[in-house]
Amino acid sequence: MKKVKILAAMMATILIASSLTGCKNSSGTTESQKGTDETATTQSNAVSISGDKTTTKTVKMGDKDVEVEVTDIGKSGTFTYWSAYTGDSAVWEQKRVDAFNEAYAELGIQCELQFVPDGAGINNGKLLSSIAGGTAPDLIVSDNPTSCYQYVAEGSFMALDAVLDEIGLDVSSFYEGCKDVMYYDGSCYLIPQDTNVIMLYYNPEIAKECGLDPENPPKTIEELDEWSDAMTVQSDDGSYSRLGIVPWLDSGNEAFIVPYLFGADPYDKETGMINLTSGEMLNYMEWIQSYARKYDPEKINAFTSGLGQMFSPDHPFMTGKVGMTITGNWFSEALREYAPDVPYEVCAVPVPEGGRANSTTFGTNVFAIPSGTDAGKAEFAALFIKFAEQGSINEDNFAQWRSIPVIDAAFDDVSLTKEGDEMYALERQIANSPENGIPALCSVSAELSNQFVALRQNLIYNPDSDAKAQLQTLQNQMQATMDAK
Amino acid sequence: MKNSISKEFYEYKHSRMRRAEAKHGLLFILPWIIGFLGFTLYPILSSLYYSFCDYSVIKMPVFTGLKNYINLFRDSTFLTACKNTAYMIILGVPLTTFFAIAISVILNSKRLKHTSWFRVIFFIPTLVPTVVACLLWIWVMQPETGVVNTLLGYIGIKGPGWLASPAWAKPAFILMMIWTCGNAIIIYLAGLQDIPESLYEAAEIDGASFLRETISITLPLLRPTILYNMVTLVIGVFQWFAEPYIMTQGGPNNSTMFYSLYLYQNAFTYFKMGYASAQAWIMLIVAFIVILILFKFLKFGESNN
Repeated sequence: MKKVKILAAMMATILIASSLTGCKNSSGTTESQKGTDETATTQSNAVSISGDKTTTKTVKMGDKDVEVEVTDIGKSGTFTYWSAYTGDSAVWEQKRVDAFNEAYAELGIQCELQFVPDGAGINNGKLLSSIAGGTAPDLIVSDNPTSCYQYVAEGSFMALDAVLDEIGLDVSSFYEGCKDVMYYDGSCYLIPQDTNVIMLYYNPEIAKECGLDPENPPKTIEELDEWSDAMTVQSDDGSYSRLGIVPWLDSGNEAFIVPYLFGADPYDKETGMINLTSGEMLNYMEWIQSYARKYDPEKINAFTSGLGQMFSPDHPFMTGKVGMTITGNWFSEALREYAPDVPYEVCAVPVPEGGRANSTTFGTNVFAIPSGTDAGKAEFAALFIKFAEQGSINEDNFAQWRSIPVIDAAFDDVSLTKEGDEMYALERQIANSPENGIPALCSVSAELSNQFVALRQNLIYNPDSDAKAQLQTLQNQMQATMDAK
Repeated sequence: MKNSISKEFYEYKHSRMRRAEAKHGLLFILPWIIGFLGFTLYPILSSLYYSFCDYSVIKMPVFTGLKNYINLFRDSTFLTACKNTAYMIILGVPLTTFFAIAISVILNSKRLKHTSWFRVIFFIPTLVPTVVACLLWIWVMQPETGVVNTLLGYIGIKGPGWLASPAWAKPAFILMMIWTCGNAIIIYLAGLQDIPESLYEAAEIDGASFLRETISITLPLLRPTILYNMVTLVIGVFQWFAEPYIMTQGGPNNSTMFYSLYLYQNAFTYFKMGYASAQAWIMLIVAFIVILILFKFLKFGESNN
């Protein structure tokens, strides 16, 4: 009996102790964070007094030797980093982190990389749970700037102005359009790693076959519609074997990219008002609905269901089912990978009168430091951001994905510019339009985008329904949601 | 004798040994009790409290009374999600149950040879991981080149757009549900094998047809098994998330926006944890009512006699 008693007591103690380990761990972290905070504050003072030291080093980035700047802030330690990248981008990310760790090895700073798919946990609640639970990483990079901005509005990321000053990263020369996503209430929260431009991709062979001049691509919506009609091939049974353009394919399926190019401003930061009923927005919806009326949306969408996403050989542009598509510069890499024989040309997205001609919305991957990150670790994270902004680090990224720097002057150092690449020159020209921006960034960004996409789908499947009334309802609903925050 | 036993039991019940045993028992289950209180009961009660709050996880909850519940019934996406889930329960659950029972009855037939192989074949789909199954079904349902429409094309039928069509997306999911009903088939087979063979023999002597045997013997005696499978299926439909999340993200035109998917969006994409908690509690109550109706309809606890 005594043995049973001892055994029961031991088991209960062990199990309770192990159950509580997790709880104790977090309280332990808080204590250690408190201690580190104090140390960090002291060290920050020391650093600001001594100033930073930046030197140049040559490190390995994959097989290449690259020259990088290394900044000594007089501290050493590790920080955790969640990256959203997958596939080839994840391979590149690993090379970048390895290069950082090599560059900062002597200074005792190390980045611990974890790949967290779906926007670095931003799209699936993982990041939210970790921030709420006090186990968030010290740095993330996400491909979903809209949701990141909503995280900023919720107070989930820390303002970076002080830490950027500390490590000497000046972001004032970044493209004005990128600053839409960087700043909230006058403080900088998100740093774009690079950016992308949206263009019209078209197949010149199909254009020629249809009697169109590939050297003179469409510039207005009317011309785009003419091209689309010319490229469309209808079979005897009424089905379509090829369409000119599907307006809601690829970037057209994003909430506000094309509406923004049509001239719409879904959210006014100055007044804090959502505006989905402007003339430009109604014009855009009318354009979308005109395609839905002309072609059966179910038949059109049959082209794009299945696995024919951007990075698969089933993409309708690659299979010749569409002659044109609105998408970002990264599509060139998808074409190179999955359909190297498909010819393509690019031009600025055609817009109607009053639209933003020769312009783009900036698609970007953003760095952010979650709230509650230890001050010292935030500095290490900022060092990584500074490291990642260097042209030598981004060179492979630019060359492979044709993404572009966030500063115009940095174009000159990119190999594609040096080689005189025409498409890259066009990207640069579009990137410099003063009309560029990132639309609808507000405290309800993610919900506004999702609800807008759902509304647009409804209008596509019911092309004769009243767009203005539905947009007005959504506008009121989202404004109320935003005002309640 | 009776008095002697009750006296012994009374003495044992109030003995030191009994108390010591109770303490040991409590000590053994203490970790579970702590786990239950901390990781099950506390979150459940928290969620009930949050359902009356404006709560974004990051900021502190602010009590708002019934606002979340009222707003939910004004939310058109929520109402669409309710309709879609109801569609699956009213149409998908009975259809899946029908096919599972039909396949089980066939597989249980003495006249059929090599039934164990067939059982394996029908069970295999349940072993396929959900993500893989979803990707597979995206291919199978592809309107242009998918297997289903290709087969339909051979018999002169032009297949619909399936996942690209607001009208056919839910039936596509029902087909997938039927494909993965291997677990239910195994349970139905166990239930069928519990039915005494003598009842069928007696029915045959009386000249009953296969259909009459099925209606008068098989289905009534299989009732508890049907109830169990339908209840688990209904709960499964309410919690259905992975398939629409991977395959359609709720589209096209919100036609596959099911209850759990919208709940997830509110909680983790829109930072509306209080709103999502209210949605979860409504789901609990509705699921409870649906299950009570099933209990009533399938006469839970009543004897077959």
